[in-house]
Amino acid sequence: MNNQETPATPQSLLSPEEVARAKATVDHLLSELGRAILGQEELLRLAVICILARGHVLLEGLPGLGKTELVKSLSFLMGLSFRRVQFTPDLLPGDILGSPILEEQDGARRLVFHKGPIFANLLLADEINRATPKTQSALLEAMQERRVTVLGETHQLPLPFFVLATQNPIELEGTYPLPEAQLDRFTFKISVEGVGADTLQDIITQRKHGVPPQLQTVVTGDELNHLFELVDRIHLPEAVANYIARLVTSTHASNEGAPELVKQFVRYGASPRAAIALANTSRAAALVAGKPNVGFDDVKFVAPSVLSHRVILDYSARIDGWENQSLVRELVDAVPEVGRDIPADVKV
Amino acid sequence: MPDSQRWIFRHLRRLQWGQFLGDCADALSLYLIVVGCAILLVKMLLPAWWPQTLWVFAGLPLVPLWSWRKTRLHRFTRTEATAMLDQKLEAGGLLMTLSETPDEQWREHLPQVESLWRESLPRIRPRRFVSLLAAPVAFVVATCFVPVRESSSLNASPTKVSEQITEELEEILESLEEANVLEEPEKEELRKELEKFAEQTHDQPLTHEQWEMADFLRQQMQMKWEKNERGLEAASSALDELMSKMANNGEVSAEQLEQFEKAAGENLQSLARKALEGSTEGMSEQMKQMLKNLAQNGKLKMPGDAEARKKAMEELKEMLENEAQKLAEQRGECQGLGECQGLGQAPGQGGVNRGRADAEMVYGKESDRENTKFKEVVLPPGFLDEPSKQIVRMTSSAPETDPALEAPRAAARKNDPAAGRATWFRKLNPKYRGVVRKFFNSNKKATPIPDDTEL
Repeated sequence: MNNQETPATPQSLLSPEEVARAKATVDHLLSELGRAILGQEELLRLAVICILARGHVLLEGLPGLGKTELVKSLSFLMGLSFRRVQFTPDLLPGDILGSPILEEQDGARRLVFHKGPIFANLLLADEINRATPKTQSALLEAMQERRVTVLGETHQLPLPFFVLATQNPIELEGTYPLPEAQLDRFTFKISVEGVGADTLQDIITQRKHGVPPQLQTVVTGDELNHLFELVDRIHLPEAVANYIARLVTSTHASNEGAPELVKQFVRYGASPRAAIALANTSRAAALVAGKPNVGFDDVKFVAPSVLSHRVILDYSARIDGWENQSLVRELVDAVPEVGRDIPADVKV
Repeated sequence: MPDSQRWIFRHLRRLQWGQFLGDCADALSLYLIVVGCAILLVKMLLPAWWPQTLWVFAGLPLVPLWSWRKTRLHRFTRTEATAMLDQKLEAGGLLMTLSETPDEQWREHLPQVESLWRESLPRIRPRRFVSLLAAPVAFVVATCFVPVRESSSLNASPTKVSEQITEELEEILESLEEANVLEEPEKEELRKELEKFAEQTHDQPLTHEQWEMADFLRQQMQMKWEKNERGLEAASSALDELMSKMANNGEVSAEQLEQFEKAAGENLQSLARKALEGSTEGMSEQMKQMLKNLAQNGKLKMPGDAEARKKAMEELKEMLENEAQKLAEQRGECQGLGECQGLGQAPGQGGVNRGRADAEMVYGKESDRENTKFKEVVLPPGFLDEPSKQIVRMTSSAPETDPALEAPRAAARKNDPAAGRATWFRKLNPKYRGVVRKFFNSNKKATPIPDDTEL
């Protein structure tokens, strides 16, 4: 019997029509999102990319910037089941996951598992850093394995499953910073920035009492699954994969090829999970851009959101005023796309 | 539609050329610096190896070959070249994708204008190559112009120097023998001295005394040359004088002929010896006979007939000139010996020598023998204080003499013709008389005039 594996045939590229249809869907989604959240095009794009890459998003920003509204809008537009949990210090894991309750059925008493709010396609974990680590860790298995185990029973979460968490960078009193393991499970950490005066004017004129516009579902569940398939079929060229690998490796200070900035300020670099997330989100970014393949630009676009919360800075970086986001941007600029220098006697 | 694979190949090839130029420049500059240093070291320290050192340039063609091999080992991959071209074309990764997964539909989305592809190709600009090689090349060229250090005899060991000195002396002696300058006893004596010298200095450095001995032998042999030359010169001048008188008067007197015979007898002994030994190439029978006569009887015995005599004199003159010239050449060769054997004859050029005092002394414009103002005056031979063997008185026993006192004086008087009573009675220039009188205090009659012994 021949045990040799047959070499995998290269997957065919998406056809231009497939890509065009997907792009149209995504553009429609983005435009509808743009109606709900004004003046945050990049944020919306990143959020959609992360959803298409089947990743979890951690939104960080000051109150009132539209974080919660973004998550709610996404759930409406994609026709996904949506639950919102406001994290507080007294929140218990059972409040999220669900708990077994003793019930009498047919004359017999038994424990029946009552599903918590996590059993939804989209979970909005509002102000996640206000819950205790015990409650935060309840999300760990759900985020990674997309299943929940209570009293020895494992319950599969509905697919697709996304956690969109928000956290407030101020009012840190009485908060519990997310542990590194949990941070690593978020594909993206997106900083929500304030908007400009023009945008603010639009918000004032268009939103009376802050009520968002009525949104209709743009993407059905099937369409979303189809988009997921298309993302998986986006071609990742060898050179781009090499670039992703070098980029992630460069976040480690112990690596010889790491930039001086990293050697000086970074204590711990990104994990292989970061590389996987970077590749997946780059694929999604390519699809959003209407391409059948990943390019260096797609990687550069998503890299700060993927790597910034996975790189742990040294105390000296804090002293020198370095933020994770800015340092990762510098790193992206420092690592060349092709791992070889162009010969000095060649003018490109 | 442009063939993307062809452009990728061209892009890759240009990158490889650029890489080769870089590697080649590195290797060549290193090679040239090493070669330059080697040339410099050889010229400074091992000048004898200089011409052979140029063979290091034979390795020059190997450097590009080695660089090409290095480039091949670390060459750009097709993936890398494609990625670079993709970036340059701003294709967003499509070129990379199509290179890995060809797709006809997406191929149309690549740039369709060929000029865009052409402009995306890298251009070879060997500026680094030139700038990196300029300094090493200049260095190597400069080292080639550095003069080779002259080899000195610093490497010669003291024992080798003694061997060289012995060889030199032997060569001078051989030259003397070839020139037939030496008489048999002189030859034997010099030979013995030289053998003794060679025995003493064999495998040993020369001592101070041995240096002096070598100088003495060299001087002795030099004097033989000079003596012979002077003899020929004297004979030649005597012959000239005789010929000029003959030309003036038509005939020479017997006395003049006798004087010439005497001069020839004194000065042409070496020529006569040659004639006896048979080395008489180009001589007439008459001349051969005359020289044989000179060797046997001490006289040439010139022909009685005036015409024959004149002819013989002309032949003799020609022969003397030839002989003088030959002797001068041989002497020149002889003097040349030792100059290039590390004896440090030229001051300041290193070598084993005895200091700058060895430098040849050149006095300038000396007058020659004929034009000299002060002629050499040979004093008449002196005689002993008591040359007469007249019997003064008879004693019953042997006369009392002191041999220790008598011997040096006798030897001095024998060798110095100016010594003795002639000196004593020589007229003293008036201006020196006062000095002499004061020295000897001749006014005091009581003090006897000191004799020679006391002086």
